[in-house]
Amino acid sequence: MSKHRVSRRQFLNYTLTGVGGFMAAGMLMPMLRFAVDPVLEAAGGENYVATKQKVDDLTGKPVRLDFSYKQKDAWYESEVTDTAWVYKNDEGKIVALSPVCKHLGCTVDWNTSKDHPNQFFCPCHFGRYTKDGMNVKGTPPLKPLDSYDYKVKDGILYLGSAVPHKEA
Amino acid sequence: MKLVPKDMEMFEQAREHIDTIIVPLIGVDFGSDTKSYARMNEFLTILSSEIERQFKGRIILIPPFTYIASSEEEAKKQAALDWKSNFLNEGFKHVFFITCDSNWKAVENDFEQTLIWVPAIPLEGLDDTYKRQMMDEQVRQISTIFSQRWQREK
Repeated sequence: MSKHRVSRRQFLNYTLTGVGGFMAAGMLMPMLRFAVDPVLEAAGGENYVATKQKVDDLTGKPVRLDFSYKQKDAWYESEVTDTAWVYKNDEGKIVALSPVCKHLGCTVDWNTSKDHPNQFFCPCHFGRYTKDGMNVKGTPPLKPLDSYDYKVKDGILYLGSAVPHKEA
Repeated sequence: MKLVPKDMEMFEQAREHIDTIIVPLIGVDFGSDTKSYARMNEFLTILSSEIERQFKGRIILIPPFTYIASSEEEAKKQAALDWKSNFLNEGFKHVFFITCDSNWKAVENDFEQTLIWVPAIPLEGLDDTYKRQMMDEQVRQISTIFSQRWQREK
């Protein structure tokens, strides 16, 4: 028999504090996590989506680039595919244009009109844009094409959200 | 455009620019051809929504004309043509029907070149990127039909 005898009262104290502590911790931890969560999350910032395009392979000729991402719409998550027309301009800067016509939202194509080569062409109402995305006067669209924010990481092109063209 | 309030708002503002309606023809069958009609449905649903994306500003994609596959050919045709004349009366210039069901080929002439038949390609088990490529190719080919028709009228 040991000399330190634990009394019934002591034993109950220890066990109850122990169990109570665990229970309190179990309740408090998630609360704390929720409180701290926004801080941890904020690092992401804007969402850039990786494309399959290597930056080095880009030329002066616009290429059609499809990229997809998940979009949540109320209770329905779907994979959305967006398209961009990407090329390097004369200064070697990357230009990524949205293919959505500013007239009524059709998809424009590069160099498909025989009468007007080297322009973006909308098949619906024959709207036209020059290579830098500016709308050709006298055709239905009233605004230049949107362009995508982009960044380059490890030689791969990442596209962000489409922003309206800055008024020239 | 699709038949949703947001798109229809745009439609009301720019009505003179939107002159084309697309009607998918989709059959339903629970007899011996259940699976092949299901395949047509899957294929055509994706195809028509891709066409809608391409030509959003000039086309309205309406909910499909759905029929029992085994029902009588003549009655189906008449109903579809009724839709067409109704839309034409509403001021639309073009009504296109698009289908994968080869039974419609028999009555093609009554549609005066507005019936587009595309064979359904089985999508199950296909790689996602490949699937998308294939759809793009299909859309591109069908697009020329619309473009030609629109050019002709211009």
